Amino acid sequence: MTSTNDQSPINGHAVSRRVLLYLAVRGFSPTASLSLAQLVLDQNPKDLAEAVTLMRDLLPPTADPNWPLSFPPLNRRSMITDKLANGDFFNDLEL
Amino acid sequence: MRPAEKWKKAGSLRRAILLILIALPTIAAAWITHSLLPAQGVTWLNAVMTALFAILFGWISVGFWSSLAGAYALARGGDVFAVLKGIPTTADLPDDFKTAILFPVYNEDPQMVFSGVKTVRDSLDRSGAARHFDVFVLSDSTDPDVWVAEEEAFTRTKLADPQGSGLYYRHRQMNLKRKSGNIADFCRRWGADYRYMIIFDADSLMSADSLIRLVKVMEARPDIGVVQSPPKAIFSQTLLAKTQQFAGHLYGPVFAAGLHFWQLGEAQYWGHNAIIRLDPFINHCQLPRIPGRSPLSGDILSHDFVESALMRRAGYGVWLAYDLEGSFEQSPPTLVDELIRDRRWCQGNLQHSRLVFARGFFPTHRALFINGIMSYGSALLWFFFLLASSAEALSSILATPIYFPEGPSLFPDWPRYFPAWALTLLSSTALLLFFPKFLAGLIVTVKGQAKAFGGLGRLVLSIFLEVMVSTFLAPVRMLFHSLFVVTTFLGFKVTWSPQNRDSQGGLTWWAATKFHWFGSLLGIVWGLSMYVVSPGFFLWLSPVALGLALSIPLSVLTSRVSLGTLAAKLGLLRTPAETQTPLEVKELEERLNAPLPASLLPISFAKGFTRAVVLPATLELHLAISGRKRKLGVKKEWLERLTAKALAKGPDSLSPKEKKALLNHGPELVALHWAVWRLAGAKARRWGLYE
Repeated sequence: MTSTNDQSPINGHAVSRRVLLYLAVRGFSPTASLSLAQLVLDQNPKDLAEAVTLMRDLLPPTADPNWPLSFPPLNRRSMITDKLANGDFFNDLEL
Repeated sequence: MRPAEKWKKAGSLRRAILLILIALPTIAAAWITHSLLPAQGVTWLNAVMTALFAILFGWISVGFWSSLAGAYALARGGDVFAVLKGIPTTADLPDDFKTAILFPVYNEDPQMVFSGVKTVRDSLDRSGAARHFDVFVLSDSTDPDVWVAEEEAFTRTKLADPQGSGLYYRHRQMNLKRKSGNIADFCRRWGADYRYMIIFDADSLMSADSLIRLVKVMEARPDIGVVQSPPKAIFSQTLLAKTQQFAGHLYGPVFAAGLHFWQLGEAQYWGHNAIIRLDPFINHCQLPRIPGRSPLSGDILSHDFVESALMRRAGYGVWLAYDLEGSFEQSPPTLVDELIRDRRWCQGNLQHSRLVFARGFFPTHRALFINGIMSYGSALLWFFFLLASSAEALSSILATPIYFPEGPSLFPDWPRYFPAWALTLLSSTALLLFFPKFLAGLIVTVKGQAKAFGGLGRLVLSIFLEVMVSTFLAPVRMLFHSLFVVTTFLGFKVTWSPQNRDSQGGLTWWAATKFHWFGSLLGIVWGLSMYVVSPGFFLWLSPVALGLALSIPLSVLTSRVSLGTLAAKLGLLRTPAETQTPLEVKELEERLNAPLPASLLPISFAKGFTRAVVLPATLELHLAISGRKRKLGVKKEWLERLTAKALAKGPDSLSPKEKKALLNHGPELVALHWAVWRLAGAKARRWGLYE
């Protein structure tokens, strides 16, 4: 899609802005964002939705899914295993 | 004699003395009360009034004698059995174990929580003890926006930490057994990795020195299961909160020393700012459900009192480190916030009536259960006493005296009045209530600490101001606590909608009127009718009637930050936390006031769900922390309908339950993320995407 011949109500500026916005929010530098945005526009997306889909497919993989480490590994000697085996997990207050 | 046996013997003797000190004056006061009542002979009304007065007199004398005992202990340079005696503050803890610091949170402000976390960790870093402690933020948050905001705050905190390790966040999907279940979940999963745990509240703060000393006490005393620190209030801005903060800093040390004097190793755990030995806690302190279907059945709400009784039952001491500095918390800012909190506590304390006779508890803890029940039950008894007194005043005016009762009698039986005894009784009651406050002021002055409270003159004025505020608010608290007790027993749940706040966070007049109209009306009607019928009795009743009648303006004015600021400008209600601010308190204050990081998109941190859908980093964070493939048996068709609704009408069209469902399903959340970025026009703007 080129802005000079575009007759669509979705103009090239809106598409560019949306792609650049996503890349900026994603953390890409301005230079990298412009390069990626150009790659998207060079494929002549017919509308905003298609542009975003193209951009998604062009993006590199995300960071390590295990970052940041949220909690330590479960201790396999967890008390529930021990206490269920002993059968006295809950106190009996004998009310 | 071994140390453990020494303190047990001393504790029994001290508590026996306390019982005598309470019983003898109470019996005397009851006899005087009975003599003062104008009726001739014994009537049922007189008997009720005498009994109620005796119970209430005995109840308030516990505080009086505790303050005297505390003053005695402080005057002697501390209690001989104080757990901190000889415990140094150096950070040379052994390397063969770690202590877990737990922050159980439930829909709290994430910035407040993680500011506290960072402050504690920085304090530990400075002391060189950070490697001995791990921090867990255990979230039970049900609000999906808060859930995501917690994840973002956790990540910011972790990235800002040079160490980067020893900080963990867990969000629990099911809020089973509330806070005690939250802690139990930690115990099940990771309890075996730690020797001790220190429980915080969301707004708690403790210095590294206090944390290290608590661990050292536990290491030095293997017979101890729990050590409770006495937290002091900080950051109070409204007049009410500043009054309570002042009271806590001034009266708190004396009162805490007094509690320690009577309780020794049979004290109570207050639920936060305390260290617990994990092994006996896991083995002996897990809470069952109370059987039955009454309002006092089900999950144990006030778990802390019960856990301390269970710990003691297992043979471990529960101590109050009354002289430990560096432990802080925050107060409710308004009377309404305080009463909403009291509603929960009241039900929890009344529930302990089911446990008073449970097998195995020590007598002290049974007495402490009764003490907790009386914290709210006494309000109802006071209310009944006032009603009975009013009835007595009415009957003495309206009923015709019987000068010649049945049976032979040469002389008439005149009604007798003893104004001197009445004055004695009034003075004694006032002494019990107010003397401890002035005693605390005296102790602070003698120790040369009056400057920390603004100087001697301002200290005295502050005490008077605190007495005035608490005296006028006492009838309002009495009415609401009575209502809480009655509604709890009847099984009714009293709920209040979120309070309307003015621009400074104070209560609006409309909100106060909706909350207090009944009390105001009662005060006006009660006061006026007594004034008309019995002006003499009206004088006795006037503080109560006035407090109730003025409850709306009192509630509004005490919620004002402007009045708190005015008090501060006049040098009143000052505390050492303000005049000699500890470094941790300064750091926490800076962090709480620091602006949140700026964002390219105008989506506030309060809109956590929207941020998780729209912002790629927040989405990835949420999926990394909460799991990508969580399945909760939710139908795919329902999720598709939710997605369609969210795209058509925006994030505000979803209920919290619907937002949580989407947050729990990674693939659907990712699909929604891309679908939102494909939106244009008004639909996009609802998600914060402006063209």
